[in-house]
Amino acid sequence: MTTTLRINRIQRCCFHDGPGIRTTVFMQGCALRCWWCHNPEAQVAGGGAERAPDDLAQELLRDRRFWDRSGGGVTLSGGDPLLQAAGAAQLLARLGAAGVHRCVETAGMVPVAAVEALLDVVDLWLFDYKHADPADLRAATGADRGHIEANLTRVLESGADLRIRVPVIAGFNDTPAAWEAHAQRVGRFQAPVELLPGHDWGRGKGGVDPRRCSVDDTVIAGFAACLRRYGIAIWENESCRP
Amino acid sequence: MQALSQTIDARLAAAQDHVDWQRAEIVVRAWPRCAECHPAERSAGVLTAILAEIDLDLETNPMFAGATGGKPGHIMTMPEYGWGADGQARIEVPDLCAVIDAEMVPTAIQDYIDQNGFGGHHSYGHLAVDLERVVHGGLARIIAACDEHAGRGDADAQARRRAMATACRAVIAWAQRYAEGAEQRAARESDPLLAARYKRMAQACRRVPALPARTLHEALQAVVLCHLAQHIEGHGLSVSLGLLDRVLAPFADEAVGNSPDTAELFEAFLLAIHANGVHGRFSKTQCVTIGGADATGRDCCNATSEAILRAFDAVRVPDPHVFLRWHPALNAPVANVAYDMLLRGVSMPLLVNDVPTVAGFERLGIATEDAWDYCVIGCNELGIPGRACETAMGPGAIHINVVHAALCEELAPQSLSQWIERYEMRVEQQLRKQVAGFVAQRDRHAQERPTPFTSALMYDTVERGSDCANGLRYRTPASYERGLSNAVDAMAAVDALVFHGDVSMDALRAALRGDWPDESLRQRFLAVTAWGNDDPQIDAIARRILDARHRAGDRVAAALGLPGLLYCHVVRSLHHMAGKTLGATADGRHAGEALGDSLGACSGRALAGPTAVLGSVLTLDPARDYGGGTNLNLNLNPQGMRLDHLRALVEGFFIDGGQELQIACVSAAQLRDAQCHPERHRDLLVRIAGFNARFVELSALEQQEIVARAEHVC
Repeated sequence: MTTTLRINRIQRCCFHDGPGIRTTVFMQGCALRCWWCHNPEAQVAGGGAERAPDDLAQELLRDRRFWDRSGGGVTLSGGDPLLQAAGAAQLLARLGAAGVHRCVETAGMVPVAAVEALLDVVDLWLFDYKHADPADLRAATGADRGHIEANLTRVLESGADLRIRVPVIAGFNDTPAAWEAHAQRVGRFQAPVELLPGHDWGRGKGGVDPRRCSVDDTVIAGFAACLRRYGIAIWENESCRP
Repeated sequence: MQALSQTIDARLAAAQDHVDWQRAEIVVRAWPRCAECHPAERSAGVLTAILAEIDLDLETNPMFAGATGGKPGHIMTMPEYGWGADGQARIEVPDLCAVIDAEMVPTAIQDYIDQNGFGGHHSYGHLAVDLERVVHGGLARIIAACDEHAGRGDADAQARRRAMATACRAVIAWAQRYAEGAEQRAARESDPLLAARYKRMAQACRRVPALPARTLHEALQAVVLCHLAQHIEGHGLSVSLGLLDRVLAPFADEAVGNSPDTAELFEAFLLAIHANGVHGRFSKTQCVTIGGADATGRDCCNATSEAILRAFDAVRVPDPHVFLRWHPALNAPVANVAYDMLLRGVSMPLLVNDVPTVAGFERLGIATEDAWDYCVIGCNELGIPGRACETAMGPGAIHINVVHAALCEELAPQSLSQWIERYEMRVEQQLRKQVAGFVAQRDRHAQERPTPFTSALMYDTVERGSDCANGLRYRTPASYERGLSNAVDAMAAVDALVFHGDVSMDALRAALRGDWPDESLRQRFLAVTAWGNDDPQIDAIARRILDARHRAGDRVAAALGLPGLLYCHVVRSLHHMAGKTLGATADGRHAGEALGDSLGACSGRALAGPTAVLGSVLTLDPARDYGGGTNLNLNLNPQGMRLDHLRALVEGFFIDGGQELQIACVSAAQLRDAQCHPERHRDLLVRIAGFNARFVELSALEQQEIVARAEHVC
């Protein structure tokens, strides 16, 4: 049975969403409501355009010449692609059959069955871990830390390639206390961490919270140093540094 | 930048644009003495007089002799052609035009122009001579060849040959004047380093360009003198420096390691070429081409290739500009230097792919070994040094104009097919007139304004006794096009909204006549997917337009006995000029707005990002569609981009058949900061469409276009 996907938009020639040159598919629908989200239009489940996975795969493959020469591929982002796990699995399987490298970017606040459905069709997981304190996490995003950690553990147990991504947001997780808590919690997963500095590019956009979320380089450096003290490898510029 | 280069650069920065009447005064005096001669001998006689009298500039650049005027920043005057400001200069450097417009032409010169002016402000340019014979043969050998063939051919051929020899002697004598001047300058110089430089300059000028160069310095000195002599002879714009690294290959050992001395040499060389104005700061588009393969597939890079690139990176002058010929086996270190420069926002080198380019020349019957010698001869136009230089023919088919005219015929087209049929008919009429006009114009140039020195540096011309305007080995007239992206967008929008939608043709034509009075209607036309988004349906329209253009062009070429036409899509600032005189068009463009600035998407319409632009362009067949060259502007957001990303973009495009790329990795924020603080960004080079410029020196119009382009990058 073919399941359709609801797509917010496709962005070609991305350099930030995994290795090489990537085509990122922003899918519709997210369980979280992060106040700094730059794509609030992708949060609701009902919007976007409906696409058949095979048809979408054909369109995505138009950039294949650039993926092949850069080690790139397709990244499903969102929204959260795992909220459309059946369609995403079909799309990723189709791309995998064509030899395309596949990333999925998830906030982890999804049914465990969705994670199970994608384990065999994802080459690299980009798994968000936004805050170590359950109360702060819930207040800012609506997420449940325990649920996210259970899904993260499931992916890691499968032996999948995984990178933990931390959006570093002013007023949310930019303090040494938050870094320390993060390092203690994330260190248990033994996965490399990529720090993503918050930016204010979307602040003029409708629906985006007007609060500043960008942090300066010293915050990123401080956070990274803290993680390193706990033996956590940092992923930077597409290379992993201990 | 080396210390000497900094000194030269500071002198150039301090120079004020000014009109220099000296060349014109000499021409006015010398012309009557030669009036009764054969036109080629008259040209040679006038050149002899100019080079015997024109002020020497020994102060600006103590490394290389040669200047088109006594001090930098001058506007050279060529009354044989006329006087005034180039139309493109008016767009690109309006404050320079104010200098020209304010100038009172001396009476004697104005009288001369009235009686003898050929039209325009300079000769046709867009050529590349055979620098091999300049550097490794020497002008004395050309003079000997002229003597050897003296009695052959008719009186016209014999006169042209005599003129070539005279012109070569004039250039040698000019070099001797510099040698003498440099010796005197060395003698009175107290700084021993500077004195040594002048002595070396003097020694070089005693030898070259008369005799073969023995060192890298002598080779570059020979190139400077012969290059500037072509400008002085009358070719004001787009005199290319050809395949410079190949010419310098015998001296590559001197460039290994790119020592400070080598770097100083190349930097001073580029500044010497840069310093000599035709229209002051207005770019002369003097192109250096490096890299590439030969007919056996062998990569032709050598140590000078990298040294040339590094010198361009160091001096950051907008003109000359540099093209790197890419091919699958391109020397990796050279490629990496190039990608690194582009990633850092240098906007050079421009890149051109050997494979489709050579195929394009071969398609027109050009011999394989000649085709592999191609270079860029102007902004982006392609030619073969000394053998084929007719790519730029001036006005050609402006696709959107033709498409618009076909739409506005009394009985409007009822379908896309009918519209394209009418386009084809109109293009054929236009090409028939223009190509014949171009051929006649080149013949008239050869007859009335021959350039014997430039001709002497071409293949076959001495043997034939011919002028380079119409006597090169290959005669390849071109159609010089613009506005393809606008034409495709207009046809796509009308097809969707008029032929298959709810907008009546009458309503559309009324909207175009009124310059889109209903903005909501215009927005509907703008909302239709445009060229440059890798949409197969839209891209198929481009294919249909170009197929129609081919059919028309093939009929025109056959009627003139030509193997075909070389088509160019090169914009420079002509998209502004063309847009100013064109009313509103069905692509949603307002009357007077600029056309698309390259073969890529129109400004603001590449919504699917840069790889989609490349995808659309890859649906074209460059060898057939644009064998004479294109410009494809590709703006990339430098944030997060690494060298391997850039390499993958370039190689992905070229391996799949793309022809040309001009990459700009400059953010809109950086450009806006340069607008606010020009003093901090003097070295910020940007690629416009067919030329490079210092961003802070551009007109407000051009600056805004560049900022808008950067803002639309995903």
